[in-house]
Amino acid sequence: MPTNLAISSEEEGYLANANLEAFWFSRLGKQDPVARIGYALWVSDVEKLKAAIQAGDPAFWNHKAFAYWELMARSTVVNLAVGLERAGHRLTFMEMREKIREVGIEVARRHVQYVRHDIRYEIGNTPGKLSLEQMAHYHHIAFKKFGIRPDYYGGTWLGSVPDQAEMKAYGDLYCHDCDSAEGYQPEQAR
Amino acid sequence: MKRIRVFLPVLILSGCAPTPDQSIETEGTACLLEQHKLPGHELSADNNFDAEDNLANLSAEVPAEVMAAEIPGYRSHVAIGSGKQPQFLYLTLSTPYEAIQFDDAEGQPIPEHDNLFRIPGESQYHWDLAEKERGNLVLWGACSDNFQGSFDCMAHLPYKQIAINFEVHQANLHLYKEIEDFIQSQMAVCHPEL
Repeated sequence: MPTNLAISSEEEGYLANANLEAFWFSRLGKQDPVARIGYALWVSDVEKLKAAIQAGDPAFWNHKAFAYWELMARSTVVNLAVGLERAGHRLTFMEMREKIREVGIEVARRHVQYVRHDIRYEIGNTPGKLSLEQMAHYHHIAFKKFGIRPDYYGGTWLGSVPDQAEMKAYGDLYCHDCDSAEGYQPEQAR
Repeated sequence: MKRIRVFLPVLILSGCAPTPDQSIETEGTACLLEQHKLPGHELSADNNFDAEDNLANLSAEVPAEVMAAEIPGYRSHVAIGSGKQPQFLYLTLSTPYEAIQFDDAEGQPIPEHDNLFRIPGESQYHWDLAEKERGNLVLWGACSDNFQGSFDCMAHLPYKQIAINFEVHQANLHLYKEIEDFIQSQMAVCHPEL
């Protein structure tokens, strides 16, 4: 029986309280594919992410290990930070963290909109499961609201993966005590 | 709520439609949708996502400043959170959806426009807006709270055999008819083949 991907009132509550970790963890439980990177981005302790991946279905995690998803999350943050800077945001480290969080809330909010839309109009094969195109659209809108160009969307499926200098400069925004990406094969990200 | 099923052919715009001529002008109107067309993007395979959607291979983003120049009174930027967000017009094309009608008693007037009515749902953060159309309340769009004191709505505008999906912030909702007229005139200029 397919998972019910409908947005629950609890999930709405998490979002209203800006609790992105709880929101994406709930979505993860429904096997919403966007939740893999969403949870990886906003999880407060990387051990939780590690545990979720180890306990999950390898196919759902696209047969990629923890190092991959952790790097994807960090590269997404770097993309966002660089995108915000290039959009003219001159922010302190803490302000940048907060701004990235605002972007994260906007993305999650639009995810909710698109999932509802998908279910209402029975789009695609599975109600509530988005296509990569649908996901790209709402990310573009959310990013652009903050002046981030569409090609900054990614670090996961689209766009460029940041170089090492950018990763070093901005990676700390996501996690100051993350595990290294040792063993991760960069070509996996292409 | 009543759903009205209407038969409409599925159109695949990409591949079958001639490329719009950027120099096309109708009554002095430039094809802004072509000027601001968004590039396609490479999507890598991931079987966890839905393989199908009803989107045509065309999307455009008309800049906020252009919208403000085209539609008098349009707010190009709206203060949200710690900054001002641009109110660009992001358009996607899709196959049309079923029209959904509501009972008159369900609609609540809203201050932004006297032809739009809020249809309360189960969620306090998400609701429908219906438009009064020839005496009937017909679904116009779905709105959601942005948790920053305002809201925006995803609207769906049938146009000939296709539909245009776009978004309007609360601050520009009073101009929804003008925005629709703008989109329709742009479609006529950019896609006369439809």
